[in-house]
Order: sequence, then structure tokens, then C-alpha cells
Amino acid sequence: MFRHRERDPRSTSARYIALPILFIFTMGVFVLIRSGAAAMNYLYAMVPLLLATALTGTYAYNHDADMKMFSAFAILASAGVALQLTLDQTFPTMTVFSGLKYAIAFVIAIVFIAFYQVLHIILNKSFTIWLMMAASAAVYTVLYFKGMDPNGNGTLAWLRVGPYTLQLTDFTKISAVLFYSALFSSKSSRSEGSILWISSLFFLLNLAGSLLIRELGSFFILYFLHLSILFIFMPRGLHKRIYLLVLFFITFGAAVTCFMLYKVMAPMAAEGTLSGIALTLWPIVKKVYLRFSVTANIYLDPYGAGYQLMQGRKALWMAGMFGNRVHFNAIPVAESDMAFVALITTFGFVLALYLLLQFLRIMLRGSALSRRLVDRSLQDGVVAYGFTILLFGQAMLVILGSCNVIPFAGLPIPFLSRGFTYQTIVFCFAGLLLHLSENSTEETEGGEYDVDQTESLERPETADYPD
Amino acid sequence: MSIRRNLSNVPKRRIILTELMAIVLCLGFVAVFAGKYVVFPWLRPSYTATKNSVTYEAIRSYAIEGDIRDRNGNIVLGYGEPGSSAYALWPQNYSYAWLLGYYSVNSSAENRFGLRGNLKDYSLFTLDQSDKGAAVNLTTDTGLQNFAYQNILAGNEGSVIVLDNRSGAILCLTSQSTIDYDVNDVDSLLTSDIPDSQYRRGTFENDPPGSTFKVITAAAALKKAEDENLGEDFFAYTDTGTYIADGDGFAITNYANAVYGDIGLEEALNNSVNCYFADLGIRTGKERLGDMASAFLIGRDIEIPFLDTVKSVLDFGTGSPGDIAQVSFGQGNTEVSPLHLAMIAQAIANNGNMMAPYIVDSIRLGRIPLYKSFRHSLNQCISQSIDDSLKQIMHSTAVGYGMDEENFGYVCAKTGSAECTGDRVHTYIIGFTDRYSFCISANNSDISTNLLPGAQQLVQYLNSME
Repeated sequence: MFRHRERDPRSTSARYIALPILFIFTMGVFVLIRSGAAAMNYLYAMVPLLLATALTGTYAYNHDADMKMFSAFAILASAGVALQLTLDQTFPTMTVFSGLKYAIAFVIAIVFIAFYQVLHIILNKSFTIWLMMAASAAVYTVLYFKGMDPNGNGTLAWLRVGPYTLQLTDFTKISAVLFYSALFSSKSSRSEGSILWISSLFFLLNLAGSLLIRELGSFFILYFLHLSILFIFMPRGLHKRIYLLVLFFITFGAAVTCFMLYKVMAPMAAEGTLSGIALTLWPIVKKVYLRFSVTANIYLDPYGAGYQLMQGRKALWMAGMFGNRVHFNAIPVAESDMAFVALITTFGFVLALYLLLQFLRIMLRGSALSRRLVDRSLQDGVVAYGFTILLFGQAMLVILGSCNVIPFAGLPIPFLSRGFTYQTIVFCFAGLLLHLSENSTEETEGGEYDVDQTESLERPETADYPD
Repeated sequence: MSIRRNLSNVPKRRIILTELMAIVLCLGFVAVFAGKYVVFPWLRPSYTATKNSVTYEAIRSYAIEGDIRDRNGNIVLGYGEPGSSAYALWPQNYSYAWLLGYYSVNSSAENRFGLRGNLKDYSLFTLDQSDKGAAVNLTTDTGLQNFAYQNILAGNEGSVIVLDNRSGAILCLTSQSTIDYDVNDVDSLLTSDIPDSQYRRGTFENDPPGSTFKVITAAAALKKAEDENLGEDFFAYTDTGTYIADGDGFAITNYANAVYGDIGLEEALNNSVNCYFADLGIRTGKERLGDMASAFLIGRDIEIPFLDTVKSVLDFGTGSPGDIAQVSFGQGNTEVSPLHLAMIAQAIANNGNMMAPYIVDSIRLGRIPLYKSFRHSLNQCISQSIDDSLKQIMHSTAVGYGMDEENFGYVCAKTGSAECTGDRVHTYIIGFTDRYSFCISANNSDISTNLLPGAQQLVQYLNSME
């Protein structure tokens, strides 16, 4: 039996319900300063926001969930709603923020969490890794044949269902986390070699799928997830070490190859003489080349690939502590890809950096949760870490990319960007992390368990964690 | 059977390692971006220039520079359109030119001067819903400003400054340099290569105050007499037309080598007798003289929000009787700007209470107030009794200047001529009516009495104001 746990006063305090509620009201002031019309809309949105925060907060508190993590989720979600309502009034956005879709995403996440117990059982089955692989393959296949691009970015990541569009590639992130979870399942006993082969197969599947639908942004985050999961959860070994090094050099080599190919293919593309595989590769090569070269020199293509980043840089200069005062709104796709920069220029660096620290809090609490869960169930530990890294990793990729520190991936940022599919996925991640943190306080960290009563907690014989 | 296994050595260290990497990444981002975009633009001019340059370039196609209005709501500078700069109508484009100044910026440096330069954050970089900058309300009176520029300066290098006695508000600060600066044409600033041509007369130049300083010397002597209970004998002096301080070989003479015989303080101020004040200053003492000058804030920087910082110098040289004598009648190394002289007149007019001068009354963005001036006293310079005495002798001096009470109302005044480097003579007249204080300054003149017609016109104009 688990030892008796006492409520951790730091992480489960009720003040972590009060804090986001206070933050919701504070955001009202921020919104009011920017736009009266947006403030009016936010006033209406505050009612469901406050209710959802109070109810889920109370539920999490009563179930001994990690309240610090809850606080970070609630703060980021309310900041996202405030930002999106303000952008609708102050920026030339392509779509209008829908509170209804937001609510539906929230409900779907609740349903997903309710069904997690079923998923949890499936994760222990040996066929699950193949199931998840098949799910990802199905997504890419459907998108390849039926995918469309509502934004004109040249990708096929979207699927139209009646009047709605779904970004199906987001679902590959869920299947990826579940795949890795099943791969490291306590019920499975796999050697180091088989883990590397199977995970590489899944990795290549995602790479091929992403190339086919020309959606490298989502692959970027899957690549990051692959590396971090293998690095952390695979036992120390020579094969692992070699594999990670080779993967690193292949990545580096791929980037260099793209640069060289661009130099060779650019004149041919200009003459229109590209054909065969060269014609297929050209959009990818060009995209990679432009992403990297524009990051190195933003003035290389100021009215093309660098335009979004140039406008973002202007916005950063103008933002100041509490947002720009000159109505600067010439940031393309401010509501999604550039949401963090739009947040900075709308509400200022003080709020933006505070929200960045909330992302950091998610990372730290999620990682701590993963460390605790590893003791009880390795696959739960992988799920917790995977969802954490998908939230934090994607947030950092977007933040650093939109601020031109790394190549811009054009991904939405968790909680702050609009987009029904991604909001749904983010709520699922957040809800599941909170659910996994229930009854999992820090006192169990590094603890002991009774094997006979927690059979599922056994770990594979082949695993070796000498550190 | 219960088998206990310790699993503390699972990959927790690697997770902790990623946590540390996340902390470093986030804190590094916060430090770099907050430093570059928030902190450095406050601290480093090059970053400020970059920030303002980026902002200016981004908004120039749609932003409208905010109006600058006088105290009656008349537009001094405005009529801006998206993509084109605000401008001033004639003659405000000249009468206000040195006050308004200019603002321009490129990626490496900001060029700014005057109110436009110092108010850019409001009038250019804070826009209302119609993309127009915040409106700035000045304390000036455009009628008075134009009158002073056209009728009193009349193309001569110098300045006219008028302050409100009670509040310290600047009602007029018009200047003429060695070039005719047109605020609508910044390039007009570059039409002269004479040193210091590009600076505003009235607040920039620091010259000896000339005989206007005799008011300070008189105040110091009156305070000594009051403190030490000295009688009229203290102020008695027999003028021979020449004064040589002890241990000093330099002979001080009166203007036009006049000799006044037995005189007192009032007659000495009426006639601006140099020898009398040289002697009175030495007998009053360097310490009391310095204290009184300091009480009138000579030697201390005075900031006028959004306009300038007025500087002055109090310098007794070696402190020898000769140096004290020079300072006592307004020569030597002591330096005061015309605006500071107007403030001294204002303090005497306001029962010895020097008010902080200000020219920006308020700034509003639509209905939202962004700034409101704060009226406050800088110093109670002198007591009521000394103030009454000064008023009495300055009033009789003004009458001597032809400003009798019947035609000009109650006026107090004192002229001054300062011999400056390069054989230049800087002349002044400071004074006040019941409501307003003024200083007329001519930077390149010959005798201060030339300013009297202008002062008489100014007083009559001030008397006609509501």
C-alpha cells in the first residue's frame, strides 16, 4: 500500500484557485486599456471563464491535484482568451475568435480525460505501438489525399468537415505520446535495440508523412519529442548514445544538404527546368533554406520569408513594458503563429514574460510529476513527460521562432493561439496532466511500493538505470 | 509477500537536467529580451534611438502628430495629416520656433530640441483612436508671444520672457537667435555657422547678470540690517564716482563716470550706482551675499518640465574684496540666464516666494489625462519685510524709467548691462506688474536703457490682458 500522504501545503493550496481568478480580473483592465469593444466582449467571456476556473480548480483541489500546475494552465488560458478578443478588435485577423469552439474544446478534453482509463489499459498491450503507428499513418494518408490549406501556406495539414476545418496533424502528437508510452510500458520487455528500431520506424513514418503533406512545423515538435523521450527514458547504453549522435549529425547534415541543394536547384527553378524528384524536393529545400537563412539574416528577404519576422521585430521594439501606444498591428497571422509577439506588443513585456514563466512552471511541475510517476508506472511517467514537453517545447519553439532566435516554425503557441483543433489538444494535454497529478504528491518521490499490490508497476528486466 | 524495491535511480537525473535546461532557457530569454527591448532603451541613447526610429518608421504613414495649443486653446502647432508633419501658422512659426524646436530620428541617433523633441513620447508615440498624438496644452499666450516677438525683439538677438506671478507659469518665451528659425523648415537652422546660433535665447545663454544683480545685493544688505538691527547709516554712502576695493588695483566706476555724492539704497538702485553696490556688497559680506544668491537659487539647476534645465553659476572667484565687489554689481564670474532673472523678478513680485516655472500645463489623449502640471514653490527667498523694501525701491526705479503709475499702473523694474567676453554687451530689464513678471534680454546690445521702450510696450500689453 502507498504510505499515507499529507496534503502538500505548497502545491495544493487553495490560493492557486484565487490567483487565476484575480488574474482574470486583471486581464480585464489590460483589455480595457487596448480596446473598449474588446473589453465588452471579455466581460461576457469572464462569466464562463470564472466558472470554469472555479469549478475545475475546486475539483483539482479536492482530488489533491497539482494546484501550481492548475494555476499556470488557468492563467495562460485566460490570457489567451483576453488576447484573442483584443486581437479581433485591434488586428486584421483572418478569422474571428469563437467562444463556443473554445467551450467545445474544453468539453472534449473532459471527455478525453474521462476515457483515459481505457487508454491506460490499452497502453499496456503490446499491439498498442502498432496501433498508434497505424493511427499516425492513417492521419497522413487522409491528409495526403483529402488535405487542404485554408491559409495558403502550401501545406496539406487541414481537413474540411462540413463547415469546419480540422488540423489533423495535431492528433499525431497525441498518438506519438501514446506510442512512446506503450513502447516503454511495464508490461513490455524490449531490448535496447528493439526500442531504437521501433521508435526509428515511427520517427521515419512521421518524417515521410510530414514531407508528403509539406508540414514540417509539426514534425519539428515530434522530432524534439523523439529525442527527449529516448534520451530520458531509455536506459544508458552504447547503442543509445550512438543513435542519438547519429541522429544529431543526420539532422545537421540534412540542413547542410538543403543549403547545397538550394544553391544548385535555385537557378534551375528560376528557369523552370526542374523535373522528377527534384521538382518534389524543391519546395522543401526552399522552405528549409529560407527558414534558416532568414533567421541568420532577417534582411535577406524582408518582403518575403522575412516579412513576418521583420514585423515581429518592429513590434518587439515598440512594445515597452505595457504594450505599444501607436496602434501597430501589421503582424501577419498575429492570432496564431505570431501570437506571442502579438501578446507582447498588445499587453507589453511585463505580462508576456510573466506568462513565459507560467510555461516554465508547467515544465517544472510536469517534469516533477513525471519523476514521481516513474516510480509507480513508467508509461504514466512517459505520458506526463511527453505531454509536458509537447506543451513547453512547442511554446518555446514558437516563442523563440517568432522572436527570430531559432528558425520560425509557424506553429500555434499553447493556450495563446486560436484554432479549434489545437485548443482541443492543449486542453487534453493540460487536463490529463492534472488528472495524473491527482493523489500524487511530492512525498512519494523516490518512494517505495509493494510489488504484489501494484503489479503494473514492474519494470522491464532489460532496463538498466545505472545513474 | 511484499517485496520492496527502491526505484530512486530511474531516469530522474535526466529529467532534472531538462528542467535545469528549461530554467536556463527561460531566464536567459527573459534577461536578454527584457534587457534589449525594455531596460536598455531607458538607459542607452543608441537603444532609445533604435526604438524610436523603428516606431517612427512604422507609424509615419498613418500617425498624426498631436496638436500643441496655447492657454486659450489656440493651435500653436498642428494641422498634421497622415504622412505629413504638423506645422505652425504665421507668425507662430517664428515666434514659437525656438520654443517648439524639432524632432528627427534615424537608426543611430535622435535629434531633438525644444518641446517637440521632449514631448515626442506623447505627441508622436502615444496615439488616440484616430491615430493622432496626444494634445499638449501650454501655458503661453499666443497674442503676447507674437507681440513680444514682432514688436519687442523685432529681429534683434535676445528673448522676452513673461511669467505669472502667482503660479510661475510661462506666458511668453520668445527668442531670436542670429538666424531666423522657421519651425516649419528645420533646415533654416543650418543657415548660420556662428557659434551657438542653434540654441534658444532665454534659457541657453549664461552671462553675468549685470546690474540686475544689484537687487540681490540690496536684498542681502537689507537682511543683514534686519538681522543685526542696523540703522539707515548702514546704507549711507558718499559716492565719488570711483571705488577701489582693499588690496585691489582695479578702479570701479559708475556708468558714464557719474558722481552721485551722498546717497542711500533707493537712490543708488534708481541710478544703478556701481560704486555704491561694490561698497555695500563688501560691507554685507561674501557669506550673506552668497546666501542671498543661493536663496534665489543662483548656482542650482532648475528643471522646467519638457523644456530645459536652467543653469547658473555663483562664483566669487578668490573671495577677495575686489572679486566680491565685482559680483555685488553683477559682473565677475557669476552667470545667470534670462529665464532665471525673470524668476527672480517673479519671486519678489510673489512676496519672496519663487515658484517653479512650467510651460506644459497638461497633456491629454482624447479624454484621458496623461499629464498635469504641478504648481509648487521652489523657495521662499526673502521675508515679507525685505520684499516690501525691494518692491518700494524697484517701483521708484521703474518710475524713473518712465513707467509712472498713472500710465503704466504698478510696475517695479531694474535694468542691467553685462560686459561679456568678446566685447559683447548683454543687456536686460527685469520687472513685474501686479500679475506678471518679465525679463527682456538683448544679447548683443550697448546700453540697457535701449530696452525701456520695449519694456513700456510690454507692460502696457500685459495690463491689457485679462
